[in-house]
Amino acid sequence: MEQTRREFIKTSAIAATASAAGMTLPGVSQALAGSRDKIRWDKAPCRYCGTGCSELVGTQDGRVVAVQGDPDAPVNRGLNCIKGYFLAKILYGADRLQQPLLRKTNGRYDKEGEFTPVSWDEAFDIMAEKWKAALREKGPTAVGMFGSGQWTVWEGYAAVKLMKAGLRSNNIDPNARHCMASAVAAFIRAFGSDEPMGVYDDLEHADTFVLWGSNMAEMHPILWSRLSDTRLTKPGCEVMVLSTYQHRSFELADEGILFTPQTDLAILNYIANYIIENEAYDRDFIDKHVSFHRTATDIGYGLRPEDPREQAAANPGVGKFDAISFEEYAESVREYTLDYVHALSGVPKRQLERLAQAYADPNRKVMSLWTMGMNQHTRGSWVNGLVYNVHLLMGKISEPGNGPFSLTGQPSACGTAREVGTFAHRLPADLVVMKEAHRDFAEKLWKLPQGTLPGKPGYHAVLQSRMLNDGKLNCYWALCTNNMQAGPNINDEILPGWRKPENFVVVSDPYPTASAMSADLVLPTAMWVEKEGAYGNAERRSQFWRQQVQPPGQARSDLWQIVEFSKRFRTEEVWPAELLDKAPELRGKTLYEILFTNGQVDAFPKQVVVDEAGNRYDNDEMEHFGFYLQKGLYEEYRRFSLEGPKPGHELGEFDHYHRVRGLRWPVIDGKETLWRYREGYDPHVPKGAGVRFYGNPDGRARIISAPYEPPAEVPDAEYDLWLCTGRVLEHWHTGSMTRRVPELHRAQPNALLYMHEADARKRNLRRGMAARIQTRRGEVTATVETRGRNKVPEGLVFIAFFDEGRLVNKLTLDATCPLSKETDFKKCAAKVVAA
Amino acid sequence: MNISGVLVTASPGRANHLQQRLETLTGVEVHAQTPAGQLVVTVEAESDEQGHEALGSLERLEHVQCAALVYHYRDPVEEA
Repeated sequence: MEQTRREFIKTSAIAATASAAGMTLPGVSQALAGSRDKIRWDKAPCRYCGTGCSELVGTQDGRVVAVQGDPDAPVNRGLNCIKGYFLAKILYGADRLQQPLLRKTNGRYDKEGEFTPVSWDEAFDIMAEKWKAALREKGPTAVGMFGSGQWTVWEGYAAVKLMKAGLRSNNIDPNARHCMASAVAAFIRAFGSDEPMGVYDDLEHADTFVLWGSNMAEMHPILWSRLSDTRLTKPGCEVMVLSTYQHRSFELADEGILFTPQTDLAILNYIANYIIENEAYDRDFIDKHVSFHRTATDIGYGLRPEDPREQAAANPGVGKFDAISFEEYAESVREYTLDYVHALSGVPKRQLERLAQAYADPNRKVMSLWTMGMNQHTRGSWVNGLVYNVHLLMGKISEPGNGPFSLTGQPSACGTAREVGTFAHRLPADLVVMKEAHRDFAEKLWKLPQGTLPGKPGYHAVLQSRMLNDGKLNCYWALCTNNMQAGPNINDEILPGWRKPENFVVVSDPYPTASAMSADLVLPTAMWVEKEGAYGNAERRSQFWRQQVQPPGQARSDLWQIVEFSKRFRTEEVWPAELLDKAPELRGKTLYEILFTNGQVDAFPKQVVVDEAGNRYDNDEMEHFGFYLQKGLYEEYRRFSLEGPKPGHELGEFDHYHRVRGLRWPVIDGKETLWRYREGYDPHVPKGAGVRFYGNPDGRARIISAPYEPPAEVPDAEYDLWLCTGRVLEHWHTGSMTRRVPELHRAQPNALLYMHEADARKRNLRRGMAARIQTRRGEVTATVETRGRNKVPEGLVFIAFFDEGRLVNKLTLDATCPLSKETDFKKCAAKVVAA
Repeated sequence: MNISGVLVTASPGRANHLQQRLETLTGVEVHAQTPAGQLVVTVEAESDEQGHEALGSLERLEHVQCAALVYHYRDPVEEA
């Protein structure tokens, strides 16, 4: 039967949706079979959060026209959240950047000039000129790069090579510092190895789910739907949600628990104390697999050293921990009694006890989940660790349904930022620049002379802003991230540093974000399926995709930009003579030659990219550089996981990933690993051991005692409210991809100030009125909302940061966890007055 | 042309009620209901804005436990 195009598309939509629900509708598949579908479908992970949903991307006449949830994907099983609605649109925003733009006056670069279109050549010329001048004058610490948990794996890897090995600067850090650094620090402290032991399969196996500072219903909707299914179908299953305000996830909660900001530290210690006092702990597990420690306390807030709060701290920034006995550990949590923690946290005693009982019941499998509430915390490394303590005391870890699970917010915060190690102190596969053996290994693998890599960690994200502001960091390249909106304390630290006359700031982005508009040079970027890519999600799953379409205008991938820029430097321009004396054959060569045509990265010749069905795909970088750049970078990177000093991160072959819906590392003999550290699942655990935390030399996980300590800034008489910032369902992070439809700017309500009705009344405010939110750092105006999806308690206000018309981070304080250097965006003191 | 296929999960016991409610919305059609209370829904819109609005309001309807987007097509020809 003849169908119209509309009917055909609609029938496709019905068929796909029914199929995701496990249904076949009569007549629908016949209708589809009879038509000639000209849409080419290929898989790609979603561009947004860290869940790592797989999509089928529909392309027609060189454009992405349709997206559907990938029915073969184990993560999302054919479903998407509503942010998926923007996937078909994100490439095609009307304000897409299509050529490099340099600030100029009368044809010359001028920091105060107007953005003027320039060629790529001119853009790289001025960049190289500025970079070389800074290197000559001050050395490698004067140049820096701010990268991204949205970079593809090879973009992150190429960036690390260029910065750490080529320019010999460790001043590269990812925006993942703002979201995952505390999780990383706690993983390393407890297990000696980054990333979760569990997998999403735990969502089908647990009896009790506890959310600590995570609004999964809005931020990880697909995982939330899996959790909801378990809650609604498994007898006895329960959900407990802890937060400082009530949000959408409370709707499913059997126990919705509101606590005073920062007291999650005390609540977790109360649970540990409860487990010990009731002798519920797993003695055998502790004896075999756990060691006990106590961390240094009174560690400050990661503020500038001259800040009085740092001056007052006994051990600012100290992460050292000492071995103690089980008895000493028990003693350290003894003060966290029901009465004390109830008084401190404001949580009813009944709720505290029910929560503790769930963890302490040996017959309940417990999955703890958390995101930014725990990571963006001035004691983030501690509080992540306190969750591990509770799970380890009970032995509830590394097995189906039992485990602490740190969720991520970016599509490759794990795969790129953490696994590749694009942090100021890291190298691939859990290696760090501070260890000589690790540097030696990297130098040898990269065929570079010993001593190439600097051993001192570079500037982390927040420090980069401060160093730009202080004039010590002068050349700065931010790619695939929007720090002028997402970073903390924009008014006092970020903007002044970027606009300082002696600094030169470059931003690579597909869109004119707040960051791009604050830069001196803007480079147009190819995004998502306009390039071949790989992301790694929160459950250690690496997923690859092919280039589906061409980027617009002169936009080029970050990978192309980084590798092309490396051609502008010769070794003798950036390396000292002593280093070159060790490898005279490298003299006169470009960084491109020594880093990217080193016989390894260029080992795979140009080829046709083709899928199983015979469809052909572009690969612009392969075309330009003349070899399979992505494959070469990946296969070289993979050797860190296979030959490096830290086993347990093994990755599979490049071509394998293009065939499958991702694989969870360690990948050994082509097989993925579900539960790490557990015999029978993880091949690294020897037979008979049962469990082995092999990231630590003694094979034991560390329980590290840490106390409650107050936050950096608390409400007082003048700034009398807690301010908490965060995200909403419809918009992803700074909204640079989900707010591209101009008409949406009008239709979509702007960021709202969620406030308790009584607090509003006290300030003569009502729902719908404009209010000014003020902190010691700045002011923002927003509309008061006293109802709606977030219900805040008296004394706390919440505002999302997606709205670039309201730069919420003018308000936030750049206090960090002193160990992880991750900012606490969840609590500072504010006041609200009528606008 | 802007067509979405959405799988809407109703709160327990509320699928029929929700189906009736959804059928009153412009551009929204319910094609099937699963025994588990999931509704196979299409949303047709004339613009990105309208489609986004419709999905957003779906999410916020009472008795909607979850609205998952499964399929989305937007016709590039109609782009401004």
